[in-house]
Amino acid sequence: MRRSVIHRAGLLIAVVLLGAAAAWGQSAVNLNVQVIHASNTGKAVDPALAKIRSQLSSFKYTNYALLETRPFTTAIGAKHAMPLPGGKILDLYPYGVSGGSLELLVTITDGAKRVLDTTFRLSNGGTILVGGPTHADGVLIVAISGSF
Amino acid sequence: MDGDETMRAACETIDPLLSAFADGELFGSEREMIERHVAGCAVCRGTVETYRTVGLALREHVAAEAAVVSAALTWPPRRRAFRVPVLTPRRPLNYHVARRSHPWPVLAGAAALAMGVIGLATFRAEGPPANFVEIERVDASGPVLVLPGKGGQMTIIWVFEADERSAPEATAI
Repeated sequence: MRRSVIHRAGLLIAVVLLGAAAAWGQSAVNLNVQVIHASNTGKAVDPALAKIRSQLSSFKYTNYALLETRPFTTAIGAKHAMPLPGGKILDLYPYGVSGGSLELLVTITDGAKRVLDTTFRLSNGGTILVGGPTHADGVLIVAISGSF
Repeated sequence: MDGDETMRAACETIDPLLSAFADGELFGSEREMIERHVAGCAVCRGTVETYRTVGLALREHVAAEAAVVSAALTWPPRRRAFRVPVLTPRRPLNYHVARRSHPWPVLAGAAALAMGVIGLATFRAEGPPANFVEIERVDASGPVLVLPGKGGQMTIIWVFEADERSAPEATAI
């Protein structure tokens, strides 16, 4: 009886671990994109930007408004496009994981114009800020976070 | 033909059947006939006893040989199961025990897989520091400023589409 219980427990553990290994092999990537409008109209920082407030002090703007937060889960090799305010398009392409970092291709296009085209490696849970594209009376700053 | 000759003739007729009789392989009138003869014939009775003794010893020997062969090829619990003589009435062969596989290989495999997963998770956990970014390539429609993150700070890529005075306070690299 006791051996039977141990045997079944072993099988259960094996099945669970195999499932975990299979899930691990799928290399799911969680990306979070925050679109921020920075301007000199007003003097406020959106409370939702508390985590990156110290970073925002690097810029010469006085007002920061969080326009959109878009978390999503994708897979290595899957392209993801999202519209930015003003008609621009942000394309994200996580194309690999290397040395514990996520390899990411990011482009911002404005019609036929390629505003930015960059590739970089991002640590797990890390964030990068991409700024400069004009919008209204200020600029857009895009915070891209990735975990895998 | 006197009584002794009659008995000898009966013995010669029955003798080829005594082995089957000793093994319990005869039934009906044949078996009854031999039983009647054996009851009155000490010689044939002795022959039947000899067949039974030899047959039992032979079967025990075969069972012992089978146990040795099985023990060399199977796990310890199975060896214990096969070590029990087949003909021993007190401990009959436990087919349930013999059929049951041992849990150790499964547990060992699960443990090895767990160690692999934990090792992989540890490897991934020991990746670069927080907010580490390594820029490989930057192309833009205009000037670009890259501020590498230091001390856990975030890396900034700034595209000069707007007034240059809006750029972050840093030196381009």
